[in-house]
Amino acid sequence: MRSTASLTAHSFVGQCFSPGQATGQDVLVELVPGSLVVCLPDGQRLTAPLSEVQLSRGGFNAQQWQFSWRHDGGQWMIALSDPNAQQRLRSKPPVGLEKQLASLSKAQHKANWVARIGWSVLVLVILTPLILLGLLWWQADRIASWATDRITVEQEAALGQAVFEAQKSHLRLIEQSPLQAPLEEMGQRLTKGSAYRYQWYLTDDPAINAFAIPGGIVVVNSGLVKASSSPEELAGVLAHEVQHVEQRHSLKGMVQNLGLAAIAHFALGDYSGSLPAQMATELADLKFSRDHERDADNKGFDTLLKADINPQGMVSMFEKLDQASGSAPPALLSSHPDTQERIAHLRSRLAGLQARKFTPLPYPWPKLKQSLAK
Amino acid sequence: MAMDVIDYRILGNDMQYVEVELDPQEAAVGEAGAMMYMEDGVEMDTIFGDGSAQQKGFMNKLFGAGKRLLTGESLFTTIFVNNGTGKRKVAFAAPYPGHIVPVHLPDVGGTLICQKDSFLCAAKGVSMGIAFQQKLGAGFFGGEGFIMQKLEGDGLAFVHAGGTVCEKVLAPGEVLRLDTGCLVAMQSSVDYDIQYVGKIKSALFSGEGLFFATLRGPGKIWLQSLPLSRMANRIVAASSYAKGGGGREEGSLLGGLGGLLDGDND
Repeated sequence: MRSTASLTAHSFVGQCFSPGQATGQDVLVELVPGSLVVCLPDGQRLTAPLSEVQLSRGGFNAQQWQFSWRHDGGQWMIALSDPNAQQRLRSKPPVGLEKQLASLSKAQHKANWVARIGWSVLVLVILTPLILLGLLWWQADRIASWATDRITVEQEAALGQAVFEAQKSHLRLIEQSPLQAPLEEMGQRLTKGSAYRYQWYLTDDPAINAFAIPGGIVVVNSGLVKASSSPEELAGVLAHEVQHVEQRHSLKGMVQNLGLAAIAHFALGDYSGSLPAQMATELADLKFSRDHERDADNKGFDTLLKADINPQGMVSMFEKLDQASGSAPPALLSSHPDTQERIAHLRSRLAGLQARKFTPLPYPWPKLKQSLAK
Repeated sequence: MAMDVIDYRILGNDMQYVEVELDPQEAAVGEAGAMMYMEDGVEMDTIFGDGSAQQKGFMNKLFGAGKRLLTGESLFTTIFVNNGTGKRKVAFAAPYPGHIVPVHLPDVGGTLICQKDSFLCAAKGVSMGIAFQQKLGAGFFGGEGFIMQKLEGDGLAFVHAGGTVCEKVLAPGEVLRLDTGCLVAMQSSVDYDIQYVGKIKSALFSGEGLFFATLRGPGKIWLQSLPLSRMANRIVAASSYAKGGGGREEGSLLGGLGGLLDGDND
C-alpha cells in the first residue's frame, strides 16, 4: 500500500479507474462540500457531485473504499486504500457524504462482526473434539460409571468373553492342571450368590500376577501360585480380584480407557483396531484407582470371612509381594499402588477380628505347587 | 524507495524461463531453487527474509521470513547481484508448464495479490508478504485458500501460472465468475469472493463444484487455464500406480480400442 502524504482531512491520494485508465492511476482527490474533485495527472480537474457518487467497500478483503459515479457515459471509480485517510474521513465526514459514510461504517462494523462470529464458530468446530476430550478426561470417572450402569450382566459377560478370546492367544493357558479343581472350589466359595458366572484359568507365566476380566473371567499366573505358601494366600488374592469383577472396577476402567481412546481417535483421526482387541490391549495396562483397590481389599476381606477362609493369608500374601517389590516389583503391585498403606489397613482389620477359628483349606499345597514346576 | 530497474526476456513457449539482465550493482531476488543459470560476475547471496528495505532489525526479518513460510515459500530468499562491470544475465525457470507473467507493480497501484507459491523472481526491493483472506467462504471454497501472496513495491515482479495465462481488465463493478483455482493474480482493488453455483443439479453434476470464484472490478486480473493441481490430478489418475488401477498401458488387452472406449476421461 502506498503511503499518501497527509494533506487536509478531506483530500487523499486514491487510485482512479476510468474508461481510459482501466488499471488505475494515482490521483489526488479532494472532497469539497457537495462534490468530489479529482486532479488527474494531466492537470485536468474533474468534478463529480456527491449526490451522484456512491460509496461502497470493495477490493481484496473489502478493505478499500470505492467512490463510484458515472461520467460521460463511462463508469468512474476512485479507490481509497490508505487506512489513515479512511480514518480521517470517518472522523470528520465531508459535507454531503455523512449519510453514506455512516452506512459504510455500519456495513464495515457488521462485516467485522460476521467475520468474527464465523471465525469463532470455525475455531470452535476445530476445538470441539479437543474440548470434549478434556472434559471427558476431567469427568472420566463419573461418565464411565454412568456408562457402566447401563451395561447388563449378560452384556458384560459377552464383552468379557470377547476380550478374553482376543487375549487368549497371548496367554499360555494351563489346561488340566491338578490345581484347577482347588482353584475352582475356592472361587466358588468366594463368589457364592454372585450374578456372574465365573471362569477360572491358570496360565504359565512367571510374573506374580492375577487379573480379572469383566463378566467373571479370572486368570491366575503360575508365578502367583508359586509365590503363595498356602491356599489361603492365593484365596486372598482371588477374593481381591473377584471384587474387581463384582464392583465392576475393571469394566469401569475399561470403559473409561476405551472411551478416552475412542474420543482421542475421534479427535485426532484414524480409528483403527477392533473393539475387543482394543480392550485387550487396554486390559494390559489397566490401572485401578486407589479407591477401587481399597474397595476391593475391604470387600475381598469380607468375602473371605463369609467364605470361612482365613484372611491372614491375604495379608501375608500382600506383605510378601511388598517385600518382593524391593528388588523388582511384581506386576501385581505395579498396577496396585500404595501397598504399605493397604497392608496396614488390612492388618488393623485382622487385629480387630475376635479370635475366630477358620478351617484351613484342605489342599496339599506344596504338592500342587510342585505340579506347576515342570 | 528506488527499486532496481531490470530488463528481461521471457523465453520458451509453454515451459518458460525468464532471463533478467542486471546492470552493475543491480540485483534481483529469486525464489529458492528457481535459478536456472547466471553469468560470470553475478554473485549469489542468501538472505533471511525477502530483501526488501522495509525489513530492518532482526525481529522484522524473522517476521517477514515467517510470513514467507506461510505462503509456501522458503525461509530464505536468494539475491543475485551483478558485481561485474558490464551487463550480466541471470535466468529463472518456471517449475511447471505454464507461462511467466511480468507485472510492473506501479502499473497496478503498487500492490499485487497473487496465488501463493506463484512468485518466481523480482527486482530487489519488492517486498513479499501475505494477504490473509478474511472471508471464510472465499478462503474455504475460493480455491486459493486463506493465504495469498502480496507483492509490493515499485519494480518488476514475475509470477508464473499453469497453462495459458489470461489477462483481463475489469471495469468498475464488472464481475467475472471463474472456476476455483484459476486465479493467479489480481490488483488489490479487485474484490475476490465466491458465489454459489445456483442449482443443486449443477452443483452436483456440472463438475464445477459448489462455488464459483467471483472477481469484481475495477482492476487487472490474471487467470490460468490449467492450475497445477488439476494437471497433477490427471497425471496421478492416468498413472499405472493410481489406486484402483486407473492407469492403463497402451498395449493393454484392448489396445488402442480400449483407449477409444474409455475416452481417456476421468
